[in-house]
Amino acid sequence: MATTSLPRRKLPEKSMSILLGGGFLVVAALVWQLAASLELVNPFLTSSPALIAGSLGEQIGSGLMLRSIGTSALELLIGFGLAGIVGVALGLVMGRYRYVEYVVEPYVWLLYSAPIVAMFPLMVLTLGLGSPTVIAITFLMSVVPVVVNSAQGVRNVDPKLIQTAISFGAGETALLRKVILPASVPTIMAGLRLGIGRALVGVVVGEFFAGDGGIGYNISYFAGHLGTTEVLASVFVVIVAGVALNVFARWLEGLADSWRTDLG
Amino acid sequence: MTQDVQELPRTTPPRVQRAQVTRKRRPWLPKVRARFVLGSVIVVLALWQLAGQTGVVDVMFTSTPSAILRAGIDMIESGELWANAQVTLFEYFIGLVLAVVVGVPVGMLMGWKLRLRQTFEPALVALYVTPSLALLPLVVLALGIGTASKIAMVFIEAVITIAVNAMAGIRETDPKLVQAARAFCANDRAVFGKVLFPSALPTIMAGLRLGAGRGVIAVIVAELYGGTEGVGLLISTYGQNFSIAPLLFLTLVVAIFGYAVSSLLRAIGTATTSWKR
Repeated sequence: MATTSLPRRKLPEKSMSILLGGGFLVVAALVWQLAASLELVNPFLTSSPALIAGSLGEQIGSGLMLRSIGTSALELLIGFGLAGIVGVALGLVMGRYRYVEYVVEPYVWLLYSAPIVAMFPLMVLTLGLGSPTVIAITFLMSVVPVVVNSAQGVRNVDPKLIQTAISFGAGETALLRKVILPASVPTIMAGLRLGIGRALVGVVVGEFFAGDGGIGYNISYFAGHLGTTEVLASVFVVIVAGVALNVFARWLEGLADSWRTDLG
Repeated sequence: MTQDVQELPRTTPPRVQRAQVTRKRRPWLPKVRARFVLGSVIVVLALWQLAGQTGVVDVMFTSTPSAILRAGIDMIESGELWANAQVTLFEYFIGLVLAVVVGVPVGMLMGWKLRLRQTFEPALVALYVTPSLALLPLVVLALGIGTASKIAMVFIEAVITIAVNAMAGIRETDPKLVQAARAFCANDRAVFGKVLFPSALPTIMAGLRLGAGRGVIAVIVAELYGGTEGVGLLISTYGQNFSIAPLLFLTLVVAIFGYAVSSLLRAIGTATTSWKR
C-alpha cells in the first residue's frame, strides 16, 4: 500500500474511506451486540443488532413490513408529488413576477417556520384520521423548499439570456419553456431534494400523530408497547429510506445537470 | 479545483451587473415590497374574518382572526402562555447550546482530519438525511416524558445539522490558502485560527441557523408527543378539545418565534462575516 505510483493514488484513498467508514459501522454494531450480550447495558432499553435483525425478519415474514412500507411510500409519493407540482408552478410564477412574490412571500415563510404537525387536530377534523391527514402534513412540510428554490432559480437566470430571447421575439410561453425552465433546473432539483427530506419527516411524524398504518405509525405503536427492538427495526427502515431517497435525488440532480457540464 | 477557478470569471460578470441593478432600484424597492406584503396580509385576514362571520366557511374548522386574537389575549392575561413558554424556552436553549458546544468542534475536527472524516462521515450523513424525529418514541422510552427527553430531541435535531455544516465549512476552505499559510511556516494552531476557522465561519453560522430552526420544531413535536408542560402540551390539550382558535394562536406564536430566531442568527452571521465580501 505504501508504494503506490502517483496516478493510482486515488484508488487506495477511496478504499480507505470505505474501509474506515464501513469499519466504524461494523465495530459500532459489534460493540453494541457485545455490550447487550454481556448485559453491560440494559437490553430492554438498548436491544441489540441481532434482536433487531430478527425482528426485521419477522416483520418481513408476516407481511407487516411490506404493508407498512407500502402505506408510507404511497403517502410520501402523493404528498411530495403534489408539493412538487404546486411548488414548482408557484415558484416559477413568484420568480418571474415580483408582485406575486411580494404577495405570497409572507405565507411561505409562515409555513416554513410553523410547526405543521401541531395543526394535526385541525386536519383530522376535516380529513379524518389516517392517510389523507398524513398526506396533507407531508405536502405542507415539503412544499416550501420547492417553492423557495424554484423562485430563486428563476431569479438567477442570466438577464442577458432573457433579454436576448425577448429581442428575438420570444413570447412568455417560449421564454418559460426554452430559457427560464432549463436554466433553473439545477436549483429546482436541489429544492426537490431538500423537499423530499422534509417530506419523509412529514410522513413519519404525521403517522406518529394521525396515522392508521405505516412505518411511523409502527414506531409509535411499538414504543407504546415498550418494544424497543421493534421500534429500532422500524427506525432502521426509516434510515435506509432516508439514505436511499437522498442518493436517488442526488443522482437525478446530476442527470438533470449533465448537459450543462458538457458545454463548459 | 481547476474547475472552480475556471468558473469564476464566467459567473462574475452577471453578478456584478445584478448588484448594480438592485442598487439603482433600492430607493423605492423595499417600500413597494413592504406595501405589498402588508396589503396581502390585511386582505387575507379581512377575507378570513368575513368568511367566518358570514358563515361561508365553518368557524369550527377555521376560526376567525378576531377569535384567535381574543384567545391569545386570554392566554397571555391568565399567564398560561408565559408559564408554559418558560418551560419550552428552557428546554430549547439548553438543547441548542449543547448542540453548538458539541456539534461545532466535532464537525470542524471531522473537516480537518481526513481519517476522522472517513471514519465518521457515513454514519453522520446517514443521520443527516434521516428524520431524527423518528427517534422520538425511543428517546421518550429511555428518558421519560419529562424535560430530559425534550432537551435530547432538540440536541439530536440540531447537532447533526450543525456538525455537518461545520465539517463542510472547513472542507470548502481554499486549499491554496492553507498551502500559502504552510509555506509561511504557520503551525497547526495558526492554520486553524487564521485560515480554516475564519473561512468556515459563514457555513458554520448557516448551520447554526438551520439547526436552530429544526430545534424549534423538535421541541414542539416532542412536547406534543408526550409531556407534562410546555407550549407543545398546551397545543396538544387544545387540539384534543378541538379548540381551534387557541391552537392556531399558539402555532402562530411558535412560527414567529422560529422565524425570529433564524432572522437573528442570519443577522449575526452577516455581521460576523461581513469582511468576507
